[in-house]
Amino acid sequence: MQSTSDYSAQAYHAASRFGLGLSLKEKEAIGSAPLDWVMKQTSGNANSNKLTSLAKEGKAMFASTFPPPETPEAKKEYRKLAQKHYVTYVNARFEHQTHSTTPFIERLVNFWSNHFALSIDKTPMITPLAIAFEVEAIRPHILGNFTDMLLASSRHPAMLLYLDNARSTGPDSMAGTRRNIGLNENLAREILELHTLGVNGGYSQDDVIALARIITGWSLAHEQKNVIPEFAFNKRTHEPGPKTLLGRTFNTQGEQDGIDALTFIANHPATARFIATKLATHFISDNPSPESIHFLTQAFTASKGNLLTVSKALITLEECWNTPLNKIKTPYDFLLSTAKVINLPQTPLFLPETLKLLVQQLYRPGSPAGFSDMADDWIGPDAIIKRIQIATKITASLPEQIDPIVLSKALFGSLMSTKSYFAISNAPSREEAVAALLVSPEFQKR
Amino acid sequence: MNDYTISRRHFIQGLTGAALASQFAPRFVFASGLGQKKLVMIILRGGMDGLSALIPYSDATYKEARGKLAMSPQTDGLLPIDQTFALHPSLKTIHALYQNKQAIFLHAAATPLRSRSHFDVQDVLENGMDKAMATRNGWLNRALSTTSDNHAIAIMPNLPLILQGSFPVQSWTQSTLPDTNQAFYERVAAMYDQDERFHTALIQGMDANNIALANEDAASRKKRSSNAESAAKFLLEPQGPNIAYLDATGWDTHVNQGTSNGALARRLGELDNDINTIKTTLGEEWNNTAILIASEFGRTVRVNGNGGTDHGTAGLAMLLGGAVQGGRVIGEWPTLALNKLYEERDLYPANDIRNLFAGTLQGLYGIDTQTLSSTIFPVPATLRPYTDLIRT
Repeated sequence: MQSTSDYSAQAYHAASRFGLGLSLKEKEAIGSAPLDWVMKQTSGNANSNKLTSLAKEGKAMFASTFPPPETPEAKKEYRKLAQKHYVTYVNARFEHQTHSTTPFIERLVNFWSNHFALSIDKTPMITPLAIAFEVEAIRPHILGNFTDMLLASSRHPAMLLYLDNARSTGPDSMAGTRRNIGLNENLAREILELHTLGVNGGYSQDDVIALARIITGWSLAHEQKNVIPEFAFNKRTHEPGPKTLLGRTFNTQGEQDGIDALTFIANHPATARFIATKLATHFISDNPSPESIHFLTQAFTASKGNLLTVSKALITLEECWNTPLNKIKTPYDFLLSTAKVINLPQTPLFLPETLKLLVQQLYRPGSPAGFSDMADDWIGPDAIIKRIQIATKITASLPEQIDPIVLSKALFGSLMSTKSYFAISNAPSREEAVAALLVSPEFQKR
Repeated sequence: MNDYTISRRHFIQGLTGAALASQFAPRFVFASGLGQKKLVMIILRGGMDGLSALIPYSDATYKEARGKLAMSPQTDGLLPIDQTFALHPSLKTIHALYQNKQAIFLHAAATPLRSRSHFDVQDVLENGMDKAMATRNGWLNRALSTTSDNHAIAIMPNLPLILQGSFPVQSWTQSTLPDTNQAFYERVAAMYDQDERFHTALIQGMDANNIALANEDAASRKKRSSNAESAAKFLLEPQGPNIAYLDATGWDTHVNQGTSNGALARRLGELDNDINTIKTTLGEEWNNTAILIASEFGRTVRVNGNGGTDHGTAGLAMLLGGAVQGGRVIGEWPTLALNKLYEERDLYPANDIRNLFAGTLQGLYGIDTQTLSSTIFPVPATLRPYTDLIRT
């Protein structure tokens, strides 16, 4: 059992478990007070002017294509533009996260963005909106209130389009009875199953339908050329009448029902437990203890879903600290933590293509459940081979001043095993030694 | 002692300097051979609309129940198989297989879990139990543990749950990265000796990587073969795996599903094409092969408000291949009569899909019913594996 009494080990743990990896600069900043280093970051925020302006550009580009392109050539042209913007954004976001002085907050951005997951592979047309989603619905509420984040997510154009709510029509609504189109359960189901109560939270099919009825009319403003689409309540598609969701009846007949219903489920005890479990899984272990889940559930409930309170509780939770190298780095974690110690190839396509090879493209998880957080789903035979091949590619040209053993010791101290130090120091070249460091079991974990 | 241990010993011999014939010599030493039965397992993720793949066109309620999603033999080019069912026009290869008695269909098939959550029901489809998260291993991995000479590969970057477990399984995908030198892999393998998860994954990865590299030449490296073709190629490898897994997504047709044309039709066409690719690539070995296709659930009988369907319960499973004793629809067909539907919205789950899985394993690999019900599908159910699925 490695001792974490030396500062290198503690720094690696704090920076990797709570942050996005350890850089030598951060190691200096952490010094001998790793917990303080994390806690201090909670007075920061997730705002980024660069990313906000990129998001705005993307939305404007999206709006300028209305009416949506019809001909194959026009569609192709749009997709090229959207893809170019996506690549620019992915790189800018990576750059921002690599150099952020509040990496704990950035890790939370990744966590919550994955919680309210969108996938643009289903509809590549909405790529610019998906980018805007993280900037507009997630970042502002990172250390705010869960209810606000849930509402922002559920009302965001990207989410309404991704989970088909924009076209969901109450069967008894004005539009429904006239045009015989109907209800779409998709968003309501995923809100209950993935965003709040969780699949075992105790809701029924009737509750899914009730919530779907409640949020009919939650749609987008009428599409006009060059007007950036925003949320608009469409009363013509809103299902009239009272709806009973999880035992409570909603009957104000309008948009407020949806707001009230989402506030109600955000504060449901099963939601507190579901969120606590996900946080414990992300910050402690693939199998977090019931005690840790209970502790975080209490923090969530007592503060009515205040994410600053919950994040602080997480930081003070001992289990987050006494379980080093307990979690596997996802491909994104692997690449970002690598970028903190050596330069990645600078071509714009390197990052998106590498993430594609490792099956973790930004905003393309393939399902609203987002990317997995479990070792079993990331470390498989082919994945390991690819990580090794990528480490080889990254280290193919190294700057002169890297000493692999000095770097390894600086990063890990006593946290790295003899076998790994041995493999690194016996590599036939500096390049291979650094590659060995990058694929060492220690570097592959956080 | 299973063949994985033999493989590892050969690997260690390689480390201590015994010369390898080439840098890319395959490391498999499985005791398989031609004559051993092959299985391709395909999971269609998202909930495939079985009622549009194998259409109960003569069911009294079909047209009215399916509304604008209903298809008719005359106007939609359906491919009939008998008085009750016809295949979707995109499934031409599968239709030909049926006519050659190389296809069996199980309609109204479902897992034992009554839920409409993709993730939970996929879990149960793969873990072979009756609850999601019941185990962290899959039924196909458990099956591999009960026999001594079967080996599997998943054509995916990571192992799907159905193949996760204590029995070592490979995974592989096409890579556009230049390969690393062999010595580096071996150094990393030695470094991974301290971590079982990483070590196992790497050894399996190296084995699969070596086979693929041995098969490749400069020309074929340029042309990207499909996953289906890659799977078949692995199965042809004399000392390679005899079981391959393919994953197919994009079946969750909530919006504008289409009928004889459209989103679902395209997906079905791609699936049909993959079956054709597998058959063609396998050549003679097709006669020793079965392809098992399943999805976590079917979809609602009635169309939803957006020209699509929502999550349902029972769906369609298929068993295709030269080794299959086919040309029939098995199981019970509950019909689409309103009083026969599940919760008045879904096709009734009349047939436990595990019986198809079990019957396939039994027919291909001779696993007895006792082992099937105690180890592979252990949750209480009176397991009744379908018999005579595979030609002897």
